[in-house]
Amino acid sequence: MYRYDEYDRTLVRERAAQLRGQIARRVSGELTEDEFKPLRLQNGLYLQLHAYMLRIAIPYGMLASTQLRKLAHIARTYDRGYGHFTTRQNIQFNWPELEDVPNILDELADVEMHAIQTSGNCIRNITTDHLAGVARDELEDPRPFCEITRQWSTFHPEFAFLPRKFKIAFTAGREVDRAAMLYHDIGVRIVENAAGERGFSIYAGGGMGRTPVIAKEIREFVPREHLLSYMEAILRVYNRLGRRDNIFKARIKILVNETGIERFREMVEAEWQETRESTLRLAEGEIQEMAKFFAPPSYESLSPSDALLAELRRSPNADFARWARNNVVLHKQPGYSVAMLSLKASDTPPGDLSDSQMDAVADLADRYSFGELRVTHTQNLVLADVKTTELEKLWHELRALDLATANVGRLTDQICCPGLDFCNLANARSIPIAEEIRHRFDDLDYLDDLGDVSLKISGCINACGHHHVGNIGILGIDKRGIEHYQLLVGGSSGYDASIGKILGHAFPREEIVGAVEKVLKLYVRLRESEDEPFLDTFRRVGEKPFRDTLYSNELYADHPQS
Amino acid sequence: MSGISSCYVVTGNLTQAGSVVYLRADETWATSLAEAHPLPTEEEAEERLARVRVHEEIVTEPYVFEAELSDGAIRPKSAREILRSAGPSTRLRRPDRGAATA
Ligand code: SF4
Repeated sequence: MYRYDEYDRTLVRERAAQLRGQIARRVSGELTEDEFKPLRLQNGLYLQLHAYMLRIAIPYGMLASTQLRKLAHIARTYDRGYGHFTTRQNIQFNWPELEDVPNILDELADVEMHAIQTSGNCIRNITTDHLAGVARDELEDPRPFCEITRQWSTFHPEFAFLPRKFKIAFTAGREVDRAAMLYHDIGVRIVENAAGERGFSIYAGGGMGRTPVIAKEIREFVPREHLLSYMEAILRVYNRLGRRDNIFKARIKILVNETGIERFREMVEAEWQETRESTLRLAEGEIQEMAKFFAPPSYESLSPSDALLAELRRSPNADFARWARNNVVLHKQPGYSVAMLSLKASDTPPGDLSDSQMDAVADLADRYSFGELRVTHTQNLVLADVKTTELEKLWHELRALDLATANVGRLTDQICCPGLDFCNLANARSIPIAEEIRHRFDDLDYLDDLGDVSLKISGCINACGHHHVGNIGILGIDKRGIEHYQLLVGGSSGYDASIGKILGHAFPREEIVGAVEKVLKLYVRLRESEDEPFLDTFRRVGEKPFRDTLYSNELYADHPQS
Repeated sequence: MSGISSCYVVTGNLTQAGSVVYLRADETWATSLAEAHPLPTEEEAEERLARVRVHEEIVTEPYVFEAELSDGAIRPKSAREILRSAGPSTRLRRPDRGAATA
């Protein structure tokens, strides 16, 4: 993992001290809210429905056990005993009081963490594949490039006030994009060209929100040394031409759309001529130095364990076997496996973890996985380096913590934003919908039969819950003060990205889960075999049968309250 | 006399604690909606709002919302204000550290 140098340490300490002064001036009345708001937002501090909310950066989702313990301490001391992991691999605390925030930032600085650039119109937390460094289909570990990008973008003087927020994601999987890379302002995919040289395919103008757009390839191959110079060129064009007059049109996706990708590419290429031979050019030595921070841990030399894992997946202990099938991923290091910790247990909001769970998971990370863990954009945690022989022991411990729900990738492994229970911008609640779905579909055999179906819920059009890209998406809307829900079908966040389609009118609260059930029943009826995933069936048969099942009279006959 | 009528309530969040508060008749702030002063017209509510807005060090971004008054009980018209007054409908991990004071 990357470790702070003196420069990083000074920077976060100074920022905490600066905010302490700003808060004192706000509380004394010296600063108005209008003056204070941009200052607090630069430190990830929002005012939500019931309280302040502090968003803390977890760069590319990597956490050390010491950091998680500190988050547990913060949850216990300054908040209400829990934290919420987000789709941007960050963590949010929902209840801090204003004058506690500088103390929290000081505590975070002790463990090399901060809340800088977790809000505001700047470059936000860099995100990546939660299997970085351990995935079998990975071309190269993207984390050194994520960290290089983090350092370049932190307090970048030119990009502190962009037209709008800016998100960058990296992926390196040959087969699978586990970072929703194509829905970012810039998506970077590590690739190899025909000559066998490593570099990046760069995509621009992706995003969700009000106008969901799949990013377009802007350059098929950017050599490694030009990662920063090329991104700088994109950012400069966006900073100059992005719409500052209309917040709804300010993201780069609108600029790319309005300009056209060809013209946008020309402008970036022209700008690149200015930046490519600058100090932004990366020396291979610098990349290698950074890569040392992400060197594999001191793995034991073990025999391959694929056969053992296959055996564990057929264990007579059916609950463990199911967990090993659904929550354990093959590792590239012989003898090791990746364990996914589902934060989608019953009766807790998706992505939430209590202080005592945080402490316990930190201990598990120390004992089973070299003291490190990761946060996924699907709001789960990962112990990336577990000996396959220790999986069953780990499972017992996770089960005692209510962290062994065997539903990773299944319908109930839902992405869910905080919605109207917390969020100031929300139209409708999302957490109770997720809870109802979990209760309605609590039969794990049924979920396994459905296979991998992604379900994503947002409480408003801002799409923090990624509803556009769920195989099934749910969007909360407000109809004359009453919560309603749009149902979307057919989204995907992978390399085969597609945006879910709204098939008809929104459903009232009491009908939306029934509508999801209709869609699932239809899928089971229409799939060609048990192996045909939901998305493939939807793409094969098209939207009409789904629309018919949702909006035919039959549905209403089933739901008399409509 | 019973019946339902529209009313307007001034609300905001305490600057220090962040908690939801409602304006009482005496222009102090209450953490409970039941203690709010329901104003019969939007104009009156806006007038009150203008007066309290100068004390933003106490309450941040105050505003007016519409509600129904039924037998003395205030019921907000929007889902948002219902949730603001009742708190999150999800199970919290642990109880509040203590009600905010105005
Ligand atoms: S999608 Fe909307 S409701 Fe959900 S967290 Fe984002 S802004 Fe809030």
